[in-house]
Amino acid sequence: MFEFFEQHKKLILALAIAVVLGMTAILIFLTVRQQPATNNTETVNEPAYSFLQEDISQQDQYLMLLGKIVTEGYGTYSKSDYRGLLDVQNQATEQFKATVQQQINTMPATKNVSTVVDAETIKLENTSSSSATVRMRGISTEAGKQQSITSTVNLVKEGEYWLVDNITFAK
Amino acid sequence: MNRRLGRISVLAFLVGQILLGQVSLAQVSLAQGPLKPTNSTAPPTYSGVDSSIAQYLCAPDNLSTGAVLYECISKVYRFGIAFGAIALVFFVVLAGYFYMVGGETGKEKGKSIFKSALTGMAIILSSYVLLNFINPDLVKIKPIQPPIFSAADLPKCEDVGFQSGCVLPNGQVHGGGVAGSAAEAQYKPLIAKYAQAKGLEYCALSALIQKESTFIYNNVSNPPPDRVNTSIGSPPSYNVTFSSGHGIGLTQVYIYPGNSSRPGGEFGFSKPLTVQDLINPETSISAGAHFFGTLVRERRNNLRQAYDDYQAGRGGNSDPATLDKYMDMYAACKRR
Repeated sequence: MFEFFEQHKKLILALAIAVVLGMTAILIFLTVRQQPATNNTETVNEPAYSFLQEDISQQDQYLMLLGKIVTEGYGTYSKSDYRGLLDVQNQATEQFKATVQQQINTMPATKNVSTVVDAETIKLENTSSSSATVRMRGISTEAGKQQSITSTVNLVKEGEYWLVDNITFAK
Repeated sequence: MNRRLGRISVLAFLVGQILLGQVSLAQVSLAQGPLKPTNSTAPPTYSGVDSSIAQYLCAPDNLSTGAVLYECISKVYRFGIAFGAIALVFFVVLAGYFYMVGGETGKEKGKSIFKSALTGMAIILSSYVLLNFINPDLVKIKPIQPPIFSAADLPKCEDVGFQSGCVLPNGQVHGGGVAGSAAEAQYKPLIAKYAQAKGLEYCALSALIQKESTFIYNNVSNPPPDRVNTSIGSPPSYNVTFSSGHGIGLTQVYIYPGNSSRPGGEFGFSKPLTVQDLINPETSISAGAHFFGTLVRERRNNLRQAYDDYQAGRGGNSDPATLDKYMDMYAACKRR
């Protein structure tokens, strides 16, 4: 076994030097490389919307997210699946619950529409401790046809809950 | 002889570090597995070189999981693996160096170190094989399971310094801010209880239920009307046709076409889950939390991928817009 090392002594030394130099180069590269900032899994599990990264209050972020969720829920339904509408109903004032129910009851059997909001366009307006307006743009798709929409969501605070008082889509 | 034994011991220790690292690898993933409950302080933020060092730090980065100790042990192991591997390479290189350039004396010295390394490795390998043969549990390193409390066992939020997402002794959840909705509120104690029991974050489970069933306990997918009618006949015969597939209940556990129930195994139940079982809120939340907890751990806490698997089956390929909705609901819940 050791005769082999004896015979190829120079070659093995050269290889060893090459390996050590290579490893050193890799180590130097890894050390000086600019590493991206990381914090924890919670950040990985958050949507990458810019308004979530900005220095705005948790409540305002919540209201903007709520506006997005209810806009997409209100604008995404078919006769076989209207859970989005039911979700809006769960978070709506009595008056708006009735409006959503009316929409469920009169939904044509062939209706199949979906709405996706561009999160970067969400704006929070007229915020007070008991009401807020969230405005955003999005795309509504029906039968393969896409249409740009602007959604305005009026929120009011009743007791401990923020409720949807109205949603309007402008095309 | 004594020196030789000493060298063998040192090398055996170093090789042992590597082998122990091998058997603890499964635990590394577990240590990173369960999601943290919401009642935690914000973990520290690391960047640059700090982030490389952070993986070896034993400072508690989450005070609420009860898993700090075994996370710390896992970190020590990872450090040991790195250190042991470097030391082993060093000794082998040293042996080679002595052998190559040390003349006749160095050759003997190099051979001796090399043989010692091989002997140490043989001892460790043989002891591992022997222990594994006697009882495989002897070579397994198990995490320390934090105790699982029911909501009723927990102390007052204020007593333990929590401000939000805390389960009160009476089973009520202290929101600490704006509540979600009245529909969610009625199930908060159950969601909190099973999220904690299955190692999930409250908001991860709450968002799942919001998206799946909008907190309607008798929700049924396909076809509408989308609620199980519970008033048909006695014993109840529901308005679902078992020739179709249906998602049933709060967590929409799916019953496949041609079946009147879903095997309970992967949902943590020993019996099949029927429609009647699945419209029971507690059964549905427990079943959904068990299955979702498994997916979250399989996906190493990547919620988006876990929601995808839950929605469309393992390796699922759901519509990205659908997955965005889950993540929006999760993010909104976190900000309430």
